[in-house]
Amino acid sequence: MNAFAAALSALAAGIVLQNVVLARALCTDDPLHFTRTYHGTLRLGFATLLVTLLATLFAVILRRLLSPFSLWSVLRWPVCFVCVAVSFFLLLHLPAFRIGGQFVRESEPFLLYVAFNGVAYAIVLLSLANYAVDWQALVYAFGCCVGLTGAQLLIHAGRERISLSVVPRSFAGLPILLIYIGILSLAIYGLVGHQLPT
Amino acid sequence: MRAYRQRLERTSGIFKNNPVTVLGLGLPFAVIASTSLKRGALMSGFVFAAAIVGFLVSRMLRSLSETWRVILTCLVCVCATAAVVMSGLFPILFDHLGVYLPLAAANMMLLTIIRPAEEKSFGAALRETVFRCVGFALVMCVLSLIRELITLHTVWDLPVKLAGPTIGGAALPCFGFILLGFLAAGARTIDRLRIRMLLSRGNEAPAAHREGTR
Repeated sequence: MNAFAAALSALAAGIVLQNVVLARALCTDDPLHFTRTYHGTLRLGFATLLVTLLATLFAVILRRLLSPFSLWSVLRWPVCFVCVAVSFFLLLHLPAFRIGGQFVRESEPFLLYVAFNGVAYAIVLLSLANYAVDWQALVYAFGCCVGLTGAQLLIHAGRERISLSVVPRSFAGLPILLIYIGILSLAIYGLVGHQLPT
Repeated sequence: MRAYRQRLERTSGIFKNNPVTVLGLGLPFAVIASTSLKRGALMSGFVFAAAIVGFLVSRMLRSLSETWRVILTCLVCVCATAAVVMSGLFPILFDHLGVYLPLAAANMMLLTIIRPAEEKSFGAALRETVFRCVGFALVMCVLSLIRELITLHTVWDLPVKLAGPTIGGAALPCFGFILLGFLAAGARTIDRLRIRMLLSRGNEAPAAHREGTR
């Protein structure tokens, strides 16, 4: 029962409380260029999930081996980056991306972007920093990827509606999208119950 | 008008093609690390150092494929960051920036900032890289200053007398996003007003010339 509660807590933290897009502002780089359709957004989420889970798995194994050394607190940065890079190469050469369905095949171009735009690297670092138990770190990483996909879908839905509305010229494009993401982020904070000043 | 355009072109990266307000890059750092002027300045300085290291590494690895160049450039920047933190030279850096420190050494903005290294001559590419870092620093300073003033009524930890209460919520990411959106729109408006002013001045000059010759 305790394990179930811990897993649920890690999952909720990843999806809502510490949402990588709305609470940590990650994966908002260049948001207008990479996810123009719902399918594209889902593929981005899928590619992030694959890279992040594999990299977190490697990082967790390496943490077991290297954490007794005093330098681990700083060494984990390059180690985690190497884990992300290795995961990227492994996935790139995975036969599933050649023989898999259309969805899987079309997710491949997103691999390079998600591996090196900082989001996979950030999730791996945060999973290791926040959770000392290995499987909880993995669950948290999974939750982060789900939260990221959900937030990107919300942003895409908003962008579609904004494109149908009349927006002042100065605000068209990136500025109005940033304000929309800000309002979404505020909504998440309201949902979570952070202490906002009255 | 042409002179204005040429000036913008020469300083591309600061106002035109600003990495944050125009290209939408580096948003995590602009939103999260801009809660105080000190943090903003630290982040700007660190991004500048990482960009110069990344530029030089990327320049050296020009013969490699793009994927390998990206990976090795980021890896060198992350290792250099870890080395700086390990050396204990700048303890304030890790205290203020935390997990965003290694992220600043391996992200999309850095890769975009150093991209000219692969296409242009050394001098031109270095100038563009420096200008983009200056553009990032400019946005960070404006954002940090506004947020610190609203959140704490201080500038660089020095108290400033302002009317009204402090608003702690300005330190939240949501406020950072909204403020950045208004900043990007403000930059566009200023550009449009400047162009309109130059155009109207350009139209007035021939009219005055015609009046004079009559």
